[in-house]
Amino acid sequence: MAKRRWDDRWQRYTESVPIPTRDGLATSKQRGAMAASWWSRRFVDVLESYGLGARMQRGRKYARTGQVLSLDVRAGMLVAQVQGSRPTPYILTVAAESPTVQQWASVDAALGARVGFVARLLAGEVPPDLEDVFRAAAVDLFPASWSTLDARCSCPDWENPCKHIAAAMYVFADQLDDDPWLLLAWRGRTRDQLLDPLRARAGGVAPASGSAITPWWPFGDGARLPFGLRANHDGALGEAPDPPDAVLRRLATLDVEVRGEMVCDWLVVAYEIVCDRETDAGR
Amino acid sequence: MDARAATASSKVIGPDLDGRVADAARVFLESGRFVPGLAVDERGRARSWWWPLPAAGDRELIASLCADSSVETQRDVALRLATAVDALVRGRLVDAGAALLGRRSGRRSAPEAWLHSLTQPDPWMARSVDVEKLGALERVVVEWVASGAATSGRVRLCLRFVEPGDRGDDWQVELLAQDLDDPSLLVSAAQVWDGSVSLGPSAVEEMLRGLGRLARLAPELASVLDEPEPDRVVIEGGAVVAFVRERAATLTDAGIGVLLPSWWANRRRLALRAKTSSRGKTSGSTVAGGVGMDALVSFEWKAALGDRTITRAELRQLEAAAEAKQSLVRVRGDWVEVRPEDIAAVRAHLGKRGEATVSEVLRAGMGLDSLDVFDDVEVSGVDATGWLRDLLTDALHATVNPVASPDGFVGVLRPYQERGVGWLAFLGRLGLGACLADDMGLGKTAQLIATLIADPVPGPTLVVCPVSVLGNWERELTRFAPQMSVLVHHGRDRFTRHRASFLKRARRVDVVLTSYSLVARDVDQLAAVPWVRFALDEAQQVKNPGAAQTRAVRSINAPRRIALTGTPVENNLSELWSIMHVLNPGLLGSARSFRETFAIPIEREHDAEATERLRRITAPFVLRRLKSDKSVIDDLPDKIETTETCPLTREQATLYQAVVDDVVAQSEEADGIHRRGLVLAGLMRLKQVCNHPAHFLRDGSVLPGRSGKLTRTEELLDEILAEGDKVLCFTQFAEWGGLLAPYFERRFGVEVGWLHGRVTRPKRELMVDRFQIPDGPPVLLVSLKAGGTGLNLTAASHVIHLDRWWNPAVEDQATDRAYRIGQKRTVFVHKLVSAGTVEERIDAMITAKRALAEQVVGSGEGWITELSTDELRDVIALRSDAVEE
Repeated sequence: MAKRRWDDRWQRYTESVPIPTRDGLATSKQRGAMAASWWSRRFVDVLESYGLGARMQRGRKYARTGQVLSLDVRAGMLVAQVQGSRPTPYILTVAAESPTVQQWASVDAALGARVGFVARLLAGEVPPDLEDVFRAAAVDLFPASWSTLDARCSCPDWENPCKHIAAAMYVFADQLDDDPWLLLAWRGRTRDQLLDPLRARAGGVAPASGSAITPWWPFGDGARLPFGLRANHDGALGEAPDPPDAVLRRLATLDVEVRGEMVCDWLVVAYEIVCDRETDAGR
Repeated sequence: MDARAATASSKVIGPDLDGRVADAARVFLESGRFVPGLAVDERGRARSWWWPLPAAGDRELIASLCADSSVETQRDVALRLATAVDALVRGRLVDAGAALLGRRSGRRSAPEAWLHSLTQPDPWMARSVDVEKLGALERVVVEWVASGAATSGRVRLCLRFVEPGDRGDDWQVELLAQDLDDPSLLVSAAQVWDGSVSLGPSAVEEMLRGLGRLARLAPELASVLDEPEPDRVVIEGGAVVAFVRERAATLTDAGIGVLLPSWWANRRRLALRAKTSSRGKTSGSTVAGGVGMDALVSFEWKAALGDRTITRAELRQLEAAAEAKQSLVRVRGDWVEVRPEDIAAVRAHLGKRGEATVSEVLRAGMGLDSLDVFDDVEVSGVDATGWLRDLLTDALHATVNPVASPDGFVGVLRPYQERGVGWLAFLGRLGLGACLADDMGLGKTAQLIATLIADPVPGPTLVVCPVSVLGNWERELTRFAPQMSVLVHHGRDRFTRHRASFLKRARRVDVVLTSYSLVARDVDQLAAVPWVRFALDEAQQVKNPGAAQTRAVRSINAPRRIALTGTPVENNLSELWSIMHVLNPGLLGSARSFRETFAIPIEREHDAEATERLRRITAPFVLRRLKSDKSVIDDLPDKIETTETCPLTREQATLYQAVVDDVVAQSEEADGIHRRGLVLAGLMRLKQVCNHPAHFLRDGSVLPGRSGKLTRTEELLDEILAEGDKVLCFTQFAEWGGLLAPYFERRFGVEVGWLHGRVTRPKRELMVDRFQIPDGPPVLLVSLKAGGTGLNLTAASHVIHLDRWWNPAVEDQATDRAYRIGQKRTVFVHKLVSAGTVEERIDAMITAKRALAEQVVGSGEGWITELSTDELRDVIALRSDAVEE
């Protein structure tokens, strides 16, 4: 028997061992700080400035071991499931006040005026001046303090943030490192919402599935054709592929069998016939 | 696809569309760019297709078929093109009666039905096939075809740096979208933003992502992000070089293309260049006494851009650019990288003078070395004037004046030989070594002898050659330059048979002839002579730098050095180094540095650049003409006959003397027919001795090293085979040919034909036919009696007469086997004669008065039998000094 220590009682009180998970969202950071970028650091800072050290530590451990089962980023709200010591995972939400329509109009206008916002987001970083854009519209991009957030968890812990909320926020920070678009998604703008105006302006629309033009057509549906880009195309013959069925190699595998053999093996004959005729005719 | 669409919108299209579509369809067919397809319409009817599958490069071709970019037009053109391709492919398959699948009873599965349909005239498939399954197959097939379609959309951001025009210093960095399927397709970012060109749905996103990365990796261009639709960004002229140096690789790694002006890689930098101040012209003879490789040349450092020296004004222009903090400036049309440290360094060294040897200047001029190394600035090379420039710029051979047959030279030089003599004399006057490496038979000996006359210097010339051609040299010197005094330094009694010392005797003559083995043996005596020139014949004898004879030759001093060889490089480049090291020490550097700079890169890595550098540095000093060269071939006569005098070995000489004594003794005692028979038989035995002791003794003893003629024959065959030529060897002795044929096969590792009297007629014809084809045996031994007439052996360009038949007409007939109609090349005829023997004496008589000889000699050797015993003795006696050591 180990010797009892002064905090034994406390230990026994919180001695809830979480149920191990299989497909939890374990963070990429297994040690050290939980946020790599300055923007996710802002979240972690807000969280840690408010929370109790011990709970934050257990929250980090939860986040690292994959106790967070799901994390859904919706406009104005994070929804997460965290596996605790009870069989049913706890459900928690972290809500933030969403900007008004007018505020968004102001932000959208500012974002549209400079290509840099979207460009940097696409390149994987939060533009440093994005916060100014939001501030100009009297909105906070990052929560000013924990109290501006409305966090709730279904666990019995009376403390807020609890370790489950902490774990979810750490996982969110971790994902935010790689995908800064999540920040705007939480504020109420998805990636497509931001990109679509640009795509529309460029005349291209994401290809509808089941394109209306044949699958070999080299232009997108509704796309404008690149007229006159290269002056010197004379329609000259390309080098004939060798062997005749070389074109099949450009394609993926056609996983269709006929009489126990791959369709493409049957097709080789057709290419040989067409190309043989070619040489015999001696055009 | 719906067939009605085609007719519905055809009015939009120009009348020639069908023709252009048909042309395009043929492009796809002929290049094999078509794939099987499947389409099920809304009424559940399925048809097979042969669809075109355009490559990225075909996009323009297809776009040119579309009058506008509306979906309707695209659909119409797509249908027309697919219909045309389908008809072409299907037509060929149907015509060929192609069936991808054999017949089989029972219902076909959907894939089977589809495959079957692809080869049928009617593309529509039977109703009996399950529509559901066909629909599923259609989705799979469509996805499969789409996987190979060169759809636009894989795009990356590309930066194109555009230099400022006439005014201004700022560079434009154009933002372009580059199609990764077709990198030559570049579209301005402006056209991507406003949608006037579409590179696919993800192009905008990719461009934006690229800009985001650009701003992170190259913060100095981050201002590009402040605009709503950027298409270019300005970069200061002073920052361009640093930007490209520091960022280009990072950007490329991050998937952002960087396009620089075409001159970028060749942009100049300020450097120092040595300008030598040697005087004299190639054609003139003003360089008195020769300069030599070790002569000092003075030079001055000049400012240069690349290999061009620049004026002070241009240097000031660079300085101004540096003060204006420019990184690139255009000087006389070239973009130059401005580096203040270069300018300071050039200023510091400008105008300083130095001295270097000719060989150092040459090496520096060829980029092998530098005349000086400065830590702070590049040295770009050497500018020379006069003959040094000719040596450096490869202009030498073109500028050397040919020397027509000089006074005192008995004979006429052919035009290419006149050029050779001019070149030898020119390099000789400069004191630079020359390697004349003409093909065998082009008259290297004559060119050398003419050079001795054309470039006369008071003092002796040393000619070193293999023993086997020593007699030949003596004879050629007498023939071409009869007024020249020649001392043959050869024989056991070479020092004892004269009263005067060797040094004294050598100083009194024009030419001293000796062999390589004696150079090694008598190096001390030879080195003491103040030679004005030495010439090495068959200079491949000094290809081994460590060999005694090579070291001996190197220790002999002479301002003029000439090497003659038909094969300057037999096996490896170190041989060339060794020869050049004798001629021009230091020019090719040390053996070790030569191996590292040239031999290994060229031989192992087939480095074309190193080969060119070696060619350039050796070019002024090596002159090699091939028989097949255009410049030579016209100068060559159809037939060149040379008589090669070969020494007897000591063994041969002993046997020869014994036979002579015997013949003379017997002829004294006999007379009439008996005497004639004795003399003729004796003559035969003498010829056998000249051929080979083993031929005379018939004892089956070994062949190598016992006959001067055989040694010479082997040397000739070595060269002939190395040049890829074929050769006929005539002998009048069947037993000698029988000994030689197997020996040559072993010695040279080639097939050797042996055509003699006992070869049957069909076999003889086969032998001739085989010899005439390129892959047949390169050597054909022919007995004079069997092959002297009638045969056509024009594959041979060399004829060797191993022994002599004292009737020129008989020899000529034999020679004519190769030299006859159908022969397109010069035929080289080598007549071998043993020095100091009856062969040499009769040959001299025939050559001296050929017309008379023909009368006297008649058609055989009978006349000899009529000579008195004293006369006979004179004719057949052995001149002992012609014997090999």
